[in-house]
Amino acid sequence: MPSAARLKPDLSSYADPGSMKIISWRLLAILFALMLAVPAVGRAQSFPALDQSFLSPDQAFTLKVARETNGDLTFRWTIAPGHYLYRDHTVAAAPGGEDTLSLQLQPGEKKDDPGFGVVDIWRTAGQARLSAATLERAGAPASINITYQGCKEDSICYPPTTRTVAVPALPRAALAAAAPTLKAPPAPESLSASETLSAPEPQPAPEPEALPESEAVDATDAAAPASDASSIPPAVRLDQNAGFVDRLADQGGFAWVLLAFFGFGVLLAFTPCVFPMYPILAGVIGRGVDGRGTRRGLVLSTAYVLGLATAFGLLGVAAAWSGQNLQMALQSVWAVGALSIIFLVLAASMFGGFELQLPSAWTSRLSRDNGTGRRSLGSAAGLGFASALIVGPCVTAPLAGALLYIAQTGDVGLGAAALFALGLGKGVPLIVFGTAGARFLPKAGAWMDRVKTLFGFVFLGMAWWLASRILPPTVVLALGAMLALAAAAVLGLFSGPAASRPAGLARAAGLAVAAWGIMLLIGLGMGAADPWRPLAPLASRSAPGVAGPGAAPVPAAVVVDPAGLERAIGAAAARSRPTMIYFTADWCVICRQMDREVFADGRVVAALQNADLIKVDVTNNTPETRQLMETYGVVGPPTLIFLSAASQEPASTRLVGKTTVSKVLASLDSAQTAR
Amino acid sequence: MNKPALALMLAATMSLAACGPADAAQDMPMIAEVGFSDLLKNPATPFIGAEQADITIIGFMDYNCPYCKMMIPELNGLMEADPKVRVLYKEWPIFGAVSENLARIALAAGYQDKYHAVHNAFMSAPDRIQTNQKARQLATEAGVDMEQLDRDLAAHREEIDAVLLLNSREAAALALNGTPAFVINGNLIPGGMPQAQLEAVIARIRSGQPLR
Repeated sequence: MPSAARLKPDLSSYADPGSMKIISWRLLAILFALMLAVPAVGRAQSFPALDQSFLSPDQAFTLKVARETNGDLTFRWTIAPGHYLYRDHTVAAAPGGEDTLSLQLQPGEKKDDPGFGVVDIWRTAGQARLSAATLERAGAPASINITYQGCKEDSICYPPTTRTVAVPALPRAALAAAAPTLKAPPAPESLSASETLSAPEPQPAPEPEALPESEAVDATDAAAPASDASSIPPAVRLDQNAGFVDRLADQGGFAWVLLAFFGFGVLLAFTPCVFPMYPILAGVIGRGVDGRGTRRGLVLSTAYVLGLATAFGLLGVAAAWSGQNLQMALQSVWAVGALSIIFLVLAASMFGGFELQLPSAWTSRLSRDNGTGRRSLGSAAGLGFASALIVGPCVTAPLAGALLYIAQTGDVGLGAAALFALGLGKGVPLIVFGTAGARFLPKAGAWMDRVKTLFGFVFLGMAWWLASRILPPTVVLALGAMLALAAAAVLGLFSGPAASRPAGLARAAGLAVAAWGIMLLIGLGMGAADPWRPLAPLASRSAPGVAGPGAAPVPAAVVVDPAGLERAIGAAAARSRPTMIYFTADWCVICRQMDREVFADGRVVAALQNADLIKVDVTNNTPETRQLMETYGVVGPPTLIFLSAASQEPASTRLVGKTTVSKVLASLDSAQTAR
Repeated sequence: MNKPALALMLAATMSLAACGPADAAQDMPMIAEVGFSDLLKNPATPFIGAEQADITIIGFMDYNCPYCKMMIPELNGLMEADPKVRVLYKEWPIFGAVSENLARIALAAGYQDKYHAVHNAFMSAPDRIQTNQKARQLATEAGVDMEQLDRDLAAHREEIDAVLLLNSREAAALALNGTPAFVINGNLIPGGMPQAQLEAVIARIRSGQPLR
């Protein structure tokens, strides 16, 4: 806050000292009195003015500057509650330089003030990054002028603040990481608290040489340029632009992203999530056509799919506005539980428990007949929109990836378009079904009931599969066995002699399902946990003490916060071992599949003998795990990041989503050979 | 007194009691040695509102500051309701080059007696004004002769520079935190408030009560 003494010389230049009237203390007293009088009024209304105490810009926006190991300069603002910074008013310049230097600005939040329009703002915290390359181009200046501007909510806007900050020297860690010193393997010690506390399951006794070593880490810690929690551990250099959608966007821009999402959509159309749409669409077409209309079927199903895609697009917009990690929210116990209950209800409806339809108020609106008995295009589109909402929560990797990308970058346009494309892709088979089905499918009859029963079991399976993420393994196995045996019964396994060929085939399928159900029961009796390998306990019993092909590699550390990860990486670097950082979560179904199919593979286990496996457990959505994911540019589990012995991420080694043994081996190999 | 008003007063009293008077005074800006009459000396822009006013409100404003824009209807409402209030706007552009250019256009429009037309056009723009082109378009729509304006901008450049410099120095001297800020008959009101509150403050000033 400027003092009178400092301002005086300024004033003398425009005000005649003789005529200058001094308000000074008397006015001040009145002002104080005013301050005391009106606060109550101010508080009671929405536009407080007199009672507000103003923070100086430096108090409202605390700036910290740090030099990263890769030479980037980061500016971080801590923003006082009730204040915000205009993201786009952040400007950096070299002193004396005319041009502004380009900054990578952290995504902001959209703020829409009436009469002012939408602006990107930072609340709570903001961050800008000046890349090493930009600094270089600017002639490696010793200091940088950084200008920023913000407001107090519903109150005032501060004039821009400009601070001249000295550019810190490149941290030592960057140099140290390039040539890591060899150290003797550390003595065994117990896992530190942060690594054990939230480990998802009891870890097998770790091998001594795989333990994180604290002394070695201290050296890196001491050289850390930014002790600030959100920075990447000092010695680690990540491959830039490793993000999922970022990478797509880099490769071919907007069109490529859209094309990719359309492709994902087509693939997703064959997942059980989309199955409920077929009967709904059949209903639309069934009532929409008057006997033969293939064209009508095409038009109606296209309208349906457009409605569906629009709903997905809007979901993208919602993600951008909420800025939340939707995948984590949707994968929570509550969401998963609710979804599996929805599938149970759908199944009940298929078995004839009740008629599946949207609330009658909607359907009567949507299916207004125009008096012809035909559905209108509008109603088909409306039903498409509504059914997207029904199956929308069925989150799959590309959908979650897109939502996360949008939430993180606030790029509404690209995100919404990508999800729209995803919805269109999902709709392609629906259009084929709607067009061809209108001609080829027989009219409603007994077959419909059989299809319904089939779908009923598919839905029960979905409910079971979803619930398996949140139920104890024994319950999952028991329910699975019940489901399989019931399906076998319905398929006619236990009835009299087969009357026809289809009935015989059904009975064969029933036998297979029943066999699996019985295996589940056996597994249950032997304490198996994995419904896909119910007899695993048998295998391990036959070869006691020997890690069979099913034994997953033992992680060097399981971490849940940045400090733990930093230690674990430091420990690996200290022993010149590359690392494979595995972002995983209990609720991540693909991760479990990878555990079984990829990590248990003998070749991967062997390759991991020469590398540290660090598991990052993001099961719990905590500030620490969110920060870890943000720092490492991880969209969601499963993500594999490979670091060389010098803690550098070799280009194009990162694996996102479901992956294969050969890809993991290739990335591990790159990490081994890279420096 | 009706019930809502009573409830409001009760809430107000309670919040006052809960908060205590001390903290309100703490962060008060120091009023540097600048007199109220100095603020009114040789105003660069015409007053609006009452001819015979006993209340003068000086507003430090930026056309691209959202809370300034929100205050314009409140002040217009006040002047409509109170025949003895006048307002003097001081251009204090703090939102960069475009804001400064807006202020220059408004001040230059003053030479063809269009200051308020431009001021209102800028303040009531539905969105923030992000380009000089948009600014010129709004000025044209407000009835400004743009050729004349360009001549005035060039011919009176030094005067306009001086006004902007003076305003920013006054703002610094008053230790204003930002825009909007008001001085009502010598009382600094840092930030906006709705018309009803403005009226309450003015009533106290008029009745000579200490403002408490």
